[in-house]
Amino acid sequence: MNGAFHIAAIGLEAQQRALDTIANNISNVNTPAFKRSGVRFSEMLATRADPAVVRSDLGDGAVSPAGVTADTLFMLEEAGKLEATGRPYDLAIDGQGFIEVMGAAGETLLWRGGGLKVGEDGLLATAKGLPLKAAITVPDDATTIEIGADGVVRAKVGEAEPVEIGQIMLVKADDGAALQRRDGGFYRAEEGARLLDAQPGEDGVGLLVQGSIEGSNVELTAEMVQLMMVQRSYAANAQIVQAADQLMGLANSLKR
Amino acid sequence: MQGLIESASGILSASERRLETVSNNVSNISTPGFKRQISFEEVLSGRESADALRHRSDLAQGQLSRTGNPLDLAISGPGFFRLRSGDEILYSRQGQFRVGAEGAVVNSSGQILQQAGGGDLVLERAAVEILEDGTVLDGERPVGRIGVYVAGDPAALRPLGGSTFAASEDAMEDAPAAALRQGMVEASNVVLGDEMVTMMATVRQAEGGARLVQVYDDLLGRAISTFGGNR
Repeated sequence: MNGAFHIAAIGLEAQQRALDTIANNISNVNTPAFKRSGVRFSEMLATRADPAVVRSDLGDGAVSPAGVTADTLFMLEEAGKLEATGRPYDLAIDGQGFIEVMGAAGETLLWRGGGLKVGEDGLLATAKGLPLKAAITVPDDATTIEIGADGVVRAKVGEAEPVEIGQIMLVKADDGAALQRRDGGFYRAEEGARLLDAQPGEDGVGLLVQGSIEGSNVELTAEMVQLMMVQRSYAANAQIVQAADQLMGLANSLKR
Repeated sequence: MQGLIESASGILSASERRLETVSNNVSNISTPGFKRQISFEEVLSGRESADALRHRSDLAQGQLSRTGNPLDLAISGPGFFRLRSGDEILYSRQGQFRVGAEGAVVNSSGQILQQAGGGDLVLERAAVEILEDGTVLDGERPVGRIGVYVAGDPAALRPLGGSTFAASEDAMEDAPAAALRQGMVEASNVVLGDEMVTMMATVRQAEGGARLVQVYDDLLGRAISTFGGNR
């Protein structure tokens, strides 16, 4: 048995995972509405298969340290900077809510805002063409739309007063870990995750901001510092692997 | 002469065990609230081998660093969070929590943070204010108080690895000297230099043990050839 080998190898794996996460954060530093993933390390404990075999020299006897594990969590609470673009079809959420959109396979996806467009069927959709779940039909002859902070969408036709055409609601996941990231800035809630429906401005889901885009919440300096720490811990774990190898070498050379 | 081979194998296995501890410390260098473990030898009466390797936790405070997450909590001063994992009560200083299923505040292993008066801490949302004494405010409304405990007798605290501890409930008392810091985590107190030095010393110790085996083997071989040749 050489536990040091395995513990150090698991350490290498966890640092590798952290590095992957940091790389993804850094590459999305300019992606609108991107939420960085935070890496969370925690110690792993192994439960001995046979608790009757007590090794008093290893502490409690029932469990023993078995290295480290890294998991990631989306930092949804951290808001990105809102940048005014002035385009009426840009939409951002100032708060922690999501807009529900219909995915390609009929599934519900969560969206943090971005560019909107009017789809071929007249429905208000994301720039990627996924219609909003609120199913808001924009009249063909509308010159522009207005989205209020409370989610009410109005269309302006000609010189007439804008008329209300729909309402965008927001949802909030009460467990951030129950969200999976999909490409294109969408998230999908896992089966059984609790989603809270709310009118914008209520229950902390936030307000809608028309004509703005939310920036990424990645901070390059923080990521770089983390990157260096990961590099160093990776190297340290590699040193331990070498030392464990040396010990095994010694054991092998006992027999001459 | 039998003692020689026994202590040699004792040295070899102790150094392997010691390297395991170093290895666990190094892999947890980024784990918040991790307390490094130090292994030391203890000669037990009636046993001459150096196999009795013990561990103790170095409970020195780690540095606090800001993360800005409302549910990242660091304890400044002595004290532990009380966590519930199934029916088991555990203690830890690792304060990275999130709101999990049904509003329970859990850490990354799914253990539920306990309130000062007992019971799980349940929140409606993560954006709460947590005061130094553990009081949780949702807006202006107090919704709970996080308990921080110390062991009256330090020996009552059994380390299960470096970040989790077990103790019987009556051995733990309120920690008046501890202050909670919201939006911060306590870094691991592993010092890489110390671990590397221990690692090098351990490898050398093992080399010494291996040399001892070779000396024993030499002596045995010589004894056999000397006495065997005289016949």
